[in-house]
Parts: sequence; structure tokens; C-alpha cells
Amino acid sequence: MSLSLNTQDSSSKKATSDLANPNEIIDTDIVIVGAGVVGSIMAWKLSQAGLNVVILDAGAEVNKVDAINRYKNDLTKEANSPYKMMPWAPVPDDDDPLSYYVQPKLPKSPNAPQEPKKQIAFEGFFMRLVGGTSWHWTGHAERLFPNDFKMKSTYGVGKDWPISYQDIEPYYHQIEDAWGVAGGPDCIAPSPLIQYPMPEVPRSYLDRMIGEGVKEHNLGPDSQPLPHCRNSVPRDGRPQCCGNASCLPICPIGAKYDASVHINKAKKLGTRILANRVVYQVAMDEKDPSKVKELYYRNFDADPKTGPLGIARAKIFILAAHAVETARLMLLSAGKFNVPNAGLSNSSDQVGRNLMGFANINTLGYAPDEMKVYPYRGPVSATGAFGQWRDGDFRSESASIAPFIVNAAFKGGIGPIQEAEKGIEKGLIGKALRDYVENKTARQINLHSTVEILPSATNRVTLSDQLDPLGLPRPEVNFQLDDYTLRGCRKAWDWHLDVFHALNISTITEEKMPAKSDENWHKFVAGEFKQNYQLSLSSGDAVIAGTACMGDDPKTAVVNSYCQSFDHDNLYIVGTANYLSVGSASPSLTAAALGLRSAENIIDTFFEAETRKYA
Amino acid sequence: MLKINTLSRRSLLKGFALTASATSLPLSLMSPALAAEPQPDLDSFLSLSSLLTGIKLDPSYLELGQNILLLLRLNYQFSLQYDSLILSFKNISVQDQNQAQQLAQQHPYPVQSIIKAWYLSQVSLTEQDRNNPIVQKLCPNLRKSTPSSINSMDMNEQQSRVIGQLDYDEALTWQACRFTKPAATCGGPFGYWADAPQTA
Repeated sequence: MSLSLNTQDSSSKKATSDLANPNEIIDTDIVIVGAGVVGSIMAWKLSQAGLNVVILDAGAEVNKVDAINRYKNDLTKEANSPYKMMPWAPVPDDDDPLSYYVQPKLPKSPNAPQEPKKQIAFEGFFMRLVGGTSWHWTGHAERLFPNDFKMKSTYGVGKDWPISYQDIEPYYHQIEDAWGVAGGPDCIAPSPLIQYPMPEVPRSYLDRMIGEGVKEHNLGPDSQPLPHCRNSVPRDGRPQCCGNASCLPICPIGAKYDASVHINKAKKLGTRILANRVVYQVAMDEKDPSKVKELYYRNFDADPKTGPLGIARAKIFILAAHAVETARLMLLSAGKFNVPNAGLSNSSDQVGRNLMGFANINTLGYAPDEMKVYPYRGPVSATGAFGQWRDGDFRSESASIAPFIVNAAFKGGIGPIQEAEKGIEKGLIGKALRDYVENKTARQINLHSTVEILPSATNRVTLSDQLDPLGLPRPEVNFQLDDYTLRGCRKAWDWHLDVFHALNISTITEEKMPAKSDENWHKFVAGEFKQNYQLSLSSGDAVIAGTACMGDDPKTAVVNSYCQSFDHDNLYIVGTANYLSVGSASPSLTAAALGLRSAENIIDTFFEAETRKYA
Repeated sequence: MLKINTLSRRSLLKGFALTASATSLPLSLMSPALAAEPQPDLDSFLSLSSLLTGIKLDPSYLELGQNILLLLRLNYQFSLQYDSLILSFKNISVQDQNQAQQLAQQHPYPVQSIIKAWYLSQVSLTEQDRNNPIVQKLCPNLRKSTPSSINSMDMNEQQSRVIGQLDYDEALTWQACRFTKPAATCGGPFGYWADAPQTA
């Protein structure tokens, strides 16, 4: 049965009839679209203030036990393996992001050399489920650095935010307390004086070995711990981390924070979470086009086959559906139900623009026999990182870089099994096989750097002519790396090679690592080392930001510093979509802090408005 | 409250196995198939598997061994060659690495199938096996097989094959890698990862 929706002719009799007889009508104070880390924390805050809140999410609720069993039974152990995606809420596949994103400017041939200045595959992963992408996030709770907020004025590149680090700092504190962040003075952070609510998560043995090697060979400072959103002590009804080595994609015991924590807290305060509701249209008030009147959605909870129509009405609307889906909804709404032809809140023509992610330098190799590093122990994303290139004067020339060592080494969940597979293929047997599996696994090293990407008007999300199962246009992406980012990538690649050469780390085929040369750099960028050595340059990954940037000027920004639409004052657009820079840190903490700040603004203005109304 | 069944039947049985021989195991604790139809060659299969994998498989592995053998025997080619392999194995006087190597040379296909099943907890099946009740019960998650150079099957035959996973946690890889555990299994007290493992 097709789920398809006729959105092209919304004035048709069918659409009119559906709108006249909706399956469900919501009428409340606040409607939030998206039950991820930002939507859930805002719902919690707004509910505390006594507001009636409803969250609509396109995906299903996650049953954690089912998710863990699904993960265990899945042979591929990919990031999305534990989660059952709904056909009405498609997302980029783990191994093929272009199953959802449409990126027509990529070369058609899979063997074509990668040319990132022309186009690079955008591999930003996200999930559409209650809890959002937080289910498989790394759990790193990093603040942006003060200069990240003033890139243009400090370094002459990128853009300045309309707020400073000092403006957001109180909200960082609030989020660190609400989520439960473990850290200490040695952590990579803007200041060693940050007071974290829990003691730090120690670095892994692997981090320490590589860090010591780097320091001994004068290649930089030792590795440092990171602020983690995983319990280092029992806290807030959640247990202490016991190193299940699966936190990406799922923490089986809930020691790692995910959005379900605040979804449940918000529920207890009266927030209603409505799953399987796909919002596809925003409608403006006929009498006052500056106001959003209602949202239209398909309710697949009511009927998974037909998804009958629902209408959500509220005084305030919050779009918290991630940078791609939020922009898509704003563009989908264009030209219908009194929404301007340019799209929702798009008088600046900035919706969908300034799409950011990270560029990634991925290098895998084997440590020498005498330097077993024992990965796959503890939190698997990373417990430690190298902090020398987060910020500094170099950023006027090249991008911020965050190198870290992946505890999940070659492949979380199945790296050791893949070694066994290789041993068996080699014909090893008995004790020889057993020793091989342990030896090779113990020597796996995955050094990974995330590299900053600046906002650019041409890196953007638009609507494709290719449709999703609901008949809605899929997101079309244009994405390129500029020289600023590529200079950062080159610096990271050179450093990776220096580290690997100094520590005698070989390729995954146990050959010598490529030499540091211009020729090999060009081969690396083109993707020539990817197939044989898994040395690669990619983009997207854990960060998707931009598309509804904040600013002071309605002509150049979509929202103000409180994430409030310039065009429609009862519309807030929140999350990483607001970012004007990404630095090289994990993005979620800042998004949640902005969300809290926005929620405070909503509470203030909401009650002022209500008081005026009744006065 | 989470109720996650991380303790497999084998883990449970392992406790019994320390004090009881296979024949004295309570019948009710064995799998229905095992209880209903004891297989006389199961002990031999476990002994053979111990030699081939390099890991001693005590009687707590009886049920898993039973399941592996049931699934492997769905493959006619394996079944034929396995009988010959087990005969060769029974003629071995000393079970050592050299003998294991010899068996692998003489019977490459069943030997590799057995080792794969134990180390990866995976078996190679055919599309037709999807409808087999044993397969549906023991490894309902099947994935298309990727071409491999392991055996002599031609491409057409390979394309019709699927991989089934029995029990991820019980893959012997995790016994071989003594310094870690299957993913999504508690690794130890908080911070254990900061130091070298005790096996180092």
C-alpha cells in the first residue's frame, strides 16, 4: 500500500475534505516538532513553567530491550543497527547516505576520483525516532570555544554569532547539570575551571599509549580526557558506566545520556509525546500571515497504512527536527496555506543554506607487536583526544582540528570477529588462530580527526524532484570543501602520518604507511588509499549544522539570538540548524544550551503576552 | 527497569558443567531438540571443535554445539564431508596442532565451516533454508552472503547463499580476545579501561 501524499495539489477536494475531517486535532500552548535532545530539554523546561506542551515526532518510540537484541542479532553492527526506522520517516542509510540524500553533483561513476572542492558526499547521519540521533551519539559533551562565536572578528573568516560565549555560558552550566556531564580540569575545554557535576571519565589504555608516544616523539602534547555525558558515578537514577563497549550505537544500561531521559521527565510534567506523526506542512494565519496558525501531519500511529491527517494548533511552534528535516519542512511548506513562495521564515533566502558538517581524516593501522593497545574496552567512541588545534591564531588560515583515537578501533561490535574471519581465510587453525585473533585485535588503531567547515551559502539543502515514500521531496544536498578546510585536512593528515611513522604503525595490510608527500596527499584526497588501506577523507559524519542560521539582521539570518523567527514571531527554529560555526567539537551540548536559552525567552514572552491579552 | 537477557543458556549451563558430566545434565535444561533426540556424535563434535578452534569446549557448550551441527548439516555437501572428517578425527591418537592442521588439509570445507560457526557464530545457508523451522528458530536473522574465496563454490551458488547468526555473545572470538567482551556486555568496574588488561 502506498503511503504517498498528494502535496502538489493541496487545494484538491481530497485535501480539503481531509482537513475538514482530521483524524486528530491538537490544541495546546506549545507544539514542538522533533523529540531529540533539544526538543526534549525544551519540553522539560517549558512544562516546568506550567505550559502545555506536545511533541510530534516522525518516528517511533524506542524500546531499549528490543533495540539491544536487534543490535546483537544484526551482523553488520552499524550505527543504526539497533533501531527500527519507520517507512514513513526515512533517514540516510549507514552504508549509503545517498539512499536518502540526493546529491546530483557527485560524479556518477563510483570509481571517479574524489574532488572535494567540486563536490563531496555528504555523510551526515541522523535518526527520526523519539529520542532522535542521541540514541547513537558519542556522548561527548563539549562546549564550543569563545572564539567559535566570533570567527569573523577574531580570525577574519566565517561569521560571528549574535551571542557570545559569555551569553551562553550559564546555559552550558545548566545543561551539564541536567544531562550529567563528567569532566575535570584536564579535559579539552575552553577553561580548566569549569565545574562539572561528575568526576572525569578516564582515558583508555589505548589513549594513554598513543598519547605518550606522541609526546615522546615531540609530535604534540599528550592526549587529554574529554567531557563525557556518561555517568562516572551513579546519578539521576542512572548507573555508573561499566564500559559495555557499545555506547555508539547504544548504551545498554543508560549510563550514557540520551534524550529519553528528558522525554520521560517532560512526560511526568505533563508533556505529551506523540510518535509516528510526520509533519509535512506549516500553515499561516489567513488574517495575520506573520503568525503560524497550525501544522498538518500524517498520523501513522492511528493507521500505519494510510496515516490519516492530523492538525496541531498552538500559540507557539518550535521546529526542532534537526538541520536537514527542519529546513526541508520549511521549504516543503512554501506557497501553500499562506506560506510565502520562498518558504517558511525565508524572507532572507537563507533557509537551507550554510549547511555544515565536519571533514574527517580517517586512518587505520596496526601497532607493532610490542605495542599492544587493547581497543574495544570502555566507552567506544573516544575517551581521549588531542587538544592542540581546537583554537588558535592558525584559524585565520586553516580549520580547527580535533584528533582523537577511536576505542572501537576498526569496527565497533565486530572488529574482533572480522579479524577471526581473516584468520580463517588465511587457513589458520587451533591455537594459531586463537593467538592471531587476539594479537591482531589488540593492535588495531583508528586515529580520526574531525576538521572544521565554515558556513557557506552554496553548501545547502534544497528539495529534490526525487520523492520519499510519502511522496514528499527528498533533501537535495550541495556540499563542497573549501581551501580553509582542506588546509586543516592536510595538517591533520600530515600529523596522522607523523604519528603512525614515529610509532611504527603499519597499514591494515601490515605495509609501511604512505610517506608524507604532496603526491600521497593528492592520492589520499582522491580516495586512492581508501579501498586497500581504509585511509580516507570524508565529510558529514556526526555533525549536521546550519540551514536556519541565527543573526542580528533579518536580511541575512533566519532567526534571532533566541532562535525566534524574524518573519513569524510565534515560530522558533532550534537546534544545530542555528549554528554559524561548528569548531571541531561535538555539537549537541551547544544546541541544548541554545534550546534552554530559547525556552526561557518563550516562557518570558508567553506569559507577558497572555497577561496583555487578558488585561 | 531493563530486563536484558545477557546470560545465555550456555552461561547458565556452564555452572553445571563444572560439576556434572554431559550425561548427568538435567534433561529439562537441554534444548528440546537435544532432550528429545540425543545425538551420540555430539561429544565427538565438541572434541573435534576444541581441537580445531584451539579453545577447550566443555559440556556447557553442548547446546550450542548441537545447534551448530544441526545447522551445518542442512548443507548436503557439509554433511557428506563431515562424516569423513569425524572418521579421520576418531583415528587420531594425539590431539595436537599438527593433527589439527592435517585434518584441515584433508577436509578443508567442513573444517572451515566448523571453525567459522564457532568463531563467528555464523553459518552459511541457502535461500531455501529461510523456510526451515530450525533456521527460523536458531538464526532468524539472515543476511546475503558476500562472495568469498573460502571454498570452491561457483559464483551462482555463492549468490544464493545467506549468512545466519546464532548467538553473537557466544562467538569464540570473544574467548580468543581475552581482553574484551562482546559489545553491549558490561566490561567491568568503572574505569577498568584505563589500565592494560590483566591478560596482557
